[in-house]
Amino acid sequence: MIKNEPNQQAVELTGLTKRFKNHTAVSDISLTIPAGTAFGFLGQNGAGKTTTLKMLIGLLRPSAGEANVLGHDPVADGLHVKQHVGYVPEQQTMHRWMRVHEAVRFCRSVFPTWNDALCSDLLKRFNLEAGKRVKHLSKGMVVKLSLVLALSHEPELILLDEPMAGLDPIAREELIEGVLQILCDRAVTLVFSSHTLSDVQRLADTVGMIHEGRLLVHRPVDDLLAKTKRIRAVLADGAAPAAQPDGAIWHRVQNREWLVTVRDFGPDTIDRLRAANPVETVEVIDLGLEEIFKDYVKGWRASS
Amino acid sequence: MRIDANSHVPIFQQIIAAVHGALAAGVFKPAEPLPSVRALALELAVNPNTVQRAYQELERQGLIAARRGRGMFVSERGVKSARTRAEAAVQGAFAQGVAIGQNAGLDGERIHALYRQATGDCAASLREDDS
Amino acid sequence: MIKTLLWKDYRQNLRLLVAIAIFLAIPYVVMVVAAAAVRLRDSGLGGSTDDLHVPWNMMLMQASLCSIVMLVVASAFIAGNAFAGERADRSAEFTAYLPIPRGSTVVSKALVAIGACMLFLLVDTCIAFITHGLGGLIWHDNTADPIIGFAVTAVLIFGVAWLFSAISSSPGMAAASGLMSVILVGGSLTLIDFTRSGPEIMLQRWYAPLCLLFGLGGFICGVLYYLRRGDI
Repeated sequence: MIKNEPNQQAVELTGLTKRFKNHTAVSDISLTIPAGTAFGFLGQNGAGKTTTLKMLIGLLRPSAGEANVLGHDPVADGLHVKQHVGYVPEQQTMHRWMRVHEAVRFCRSVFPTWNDALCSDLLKRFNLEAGKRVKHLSKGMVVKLSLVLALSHEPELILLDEPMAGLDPIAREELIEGVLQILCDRAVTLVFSSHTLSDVQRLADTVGMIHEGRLLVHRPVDDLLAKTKRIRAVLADGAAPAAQPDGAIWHRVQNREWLVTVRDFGPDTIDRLRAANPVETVEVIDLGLEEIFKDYVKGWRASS
Repeated sequence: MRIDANSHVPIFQQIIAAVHGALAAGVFKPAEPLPSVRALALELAVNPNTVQRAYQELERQGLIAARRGRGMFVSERGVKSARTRAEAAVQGAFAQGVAIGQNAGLDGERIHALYRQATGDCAASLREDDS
Repeated sequence: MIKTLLWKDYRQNLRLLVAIAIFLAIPYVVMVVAAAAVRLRDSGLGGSTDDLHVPWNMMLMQASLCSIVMLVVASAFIAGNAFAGERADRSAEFTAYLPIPRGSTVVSKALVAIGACMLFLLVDTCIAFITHGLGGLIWHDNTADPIIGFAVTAVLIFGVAWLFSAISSSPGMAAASGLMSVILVGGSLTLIDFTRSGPEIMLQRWYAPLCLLFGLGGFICGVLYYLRRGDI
C-alpha cells in the first residue's frame, strides 16, 4: 500500500464514468489534483458534480474508470478514504433528532484522529449551540455543523459539495472564512463544487468545468483567465473565415463580425489570424469566468 | 487592498497590482514588512496559495524580499520600481487609448487633441490641488 | 464505536418502540377496563359478588398471551425499520460517508432490533408466569404446539421484514413483506392440503421448518445484501 508522500496527487481520476439506469451522469473524466491545492468544480445543476464527489468518497461505485483518493480506492478501501477525507454533502442528511453535541460525540467516536480543541474552536466560531437539535437549526447552521464535523478529524482532503448554495450572504462569508482558515493553517487539499463563479475565483487554484457529465476544461484559474481571450474581427466584404486559430473553443460569424474564443492567446495569435484570414480590424476581448464557461459550453454543443 | 472576485483579471494579478499601488502611493516604505500570506488571504478572503504566488512574483520583480522566518519586506528599490512600473502602465493605457481611436477611424490629429485635453485636465487638477 | 452505534440505533428507533409498547399494552388495558366494568355492574346489583368476579390473574395472563401474539406482528415493524428507516429519512447517507465498517452497522442494528423484541417478550412472559403461578394453568401434551407455532411465525416475519428492510427504502413495505410472508407460507401449504388427499397434513408437517428456513434465510440474505450493497 502506498503511503502519502508530500508531492503526491491527492486525487487521480482516470476515465471515471457513472451510468444510472438510462442516463450517463459522469462521462470519462480524467484529472489529477495535486496535494495541497484547491480545485473548484464548476458546472450547472445536474452537470455531474455531485455524482463525481460521491464517487470520491465511496458513496457511489464508478460504472467504469478509476478513482484514486489519497492513494486509495474509495470503494475497495472505503474505510481508509473516509477516515482521511472530510465531506460536506450538498444536502445535509444527519439524523434530525440529534443535538449538536450528540452529533459531535457520534462522529468523534468513529474517527480515530478527532481533534477536540479544533472542534470546539469551530463550534464557537460558528456559534453552534451544543444543546440544539439538528431539526431546529437553520439551513446555514446545519451546513456549518456539517463543516465542523467534516473538519474536526483533521482530514487530508476536504470535499465540499455546493457548500454555499442557498445560504444568506453573511453565512456564506462565515463559511468561506472558516474554510480559508483551515487552508491557511493546515496542509490540506480542497475539492469543492459550485455554480457561483466568484467563489471559484476566490478559493480555487485550478478549476474544472463540467457540462452534461463531461469535463470541458481543467486548468489553473489564473491561466484560464489570462490566456482565454475572445477575438472580435471584422471580415472583409463578402469574405468568410478561412482558418480558425489554434485552440479555438467556440466561434460565430454574424454579418461581417467574426467572434472566436481561443484557449491560449499569445503575442502572435493576432498576426497569424490576420495572415490566414481576410479580416480588416481585430480586437481582443478579456473574458470573465462566466463568459469563458459559456463559450466552452457553446463550443461543446456545436461540436457534438 | 481590495480585490474583485468577478473580474476577468486573475486574483493573483490583482494582488500584484494592489501591492504596486500601495508601494507607489507610499503605504509601505522600504524595509517595512508586508502582511503575512495568512493575514492577507483571510483579509481578502482568497486562497493563501494565490497570495503566495503573488508574493513570489513580486519577489521575482524585486519589489519585495523574503527574510528568513519573518515574512516579506519591501526592498530598497521597491518603491522606485513600483513607480517605474506605474509609468509603464500609464504608457500602456495611452497606447490602448490610441488603439481604440484608430479602430473607431479617428485620425492621428484628433487622437492627439484628445490626449492633450486629457493631460490638460490632469494638469489643471494638479494646480487646483496645489493652491 | 459499537456503543455509539447502539445508542444511535436505539434513538433512531425510539419513536417506533414507544408506539409498539403502547400497542402491546392495549390487551392489558382492555382487560383491566373490562374487569372494572364487570365489577361495577355486579356491585350495582347489590349483594356480595366476591365469588362471582372474574379472577384478575387469569385475565392478566390472557392479556399477556394476547400481547405476545401482537408482538409477533409488531416484530415486522421493528425489523422493517432496521435499514429502511434510516434510508427513508436519508440519514443512511450520513452514516455511509462516515468511516463506520458495515459489519459494525449490521451488528448494532441486529442487536437493537432483536433486543427490543426480546425485551417486549420478556415483559409479557414475566407477567404471564407471575399470574400463571397465582392462577394455575394446566400443562397438556399439546400446550407446546401453539408456542412453537408463534415462535416460528415470529422468526419468519422478522427475517423476511429484515431482508426487505435491507433492500428497500420503505420501512412500511418491508414490514408488510414480513406479514405477507406468513400468508404466503401458510396459505400455500393449506392450498396443497386442499388439492391433494393423503394421510399427511402438509401444514402441520412443513409450516415450522419452512418458517425457520425462510426466516433465518431472509435474515442472513439481508445481512449479506447490506454488506455487499454498492450505491447507498
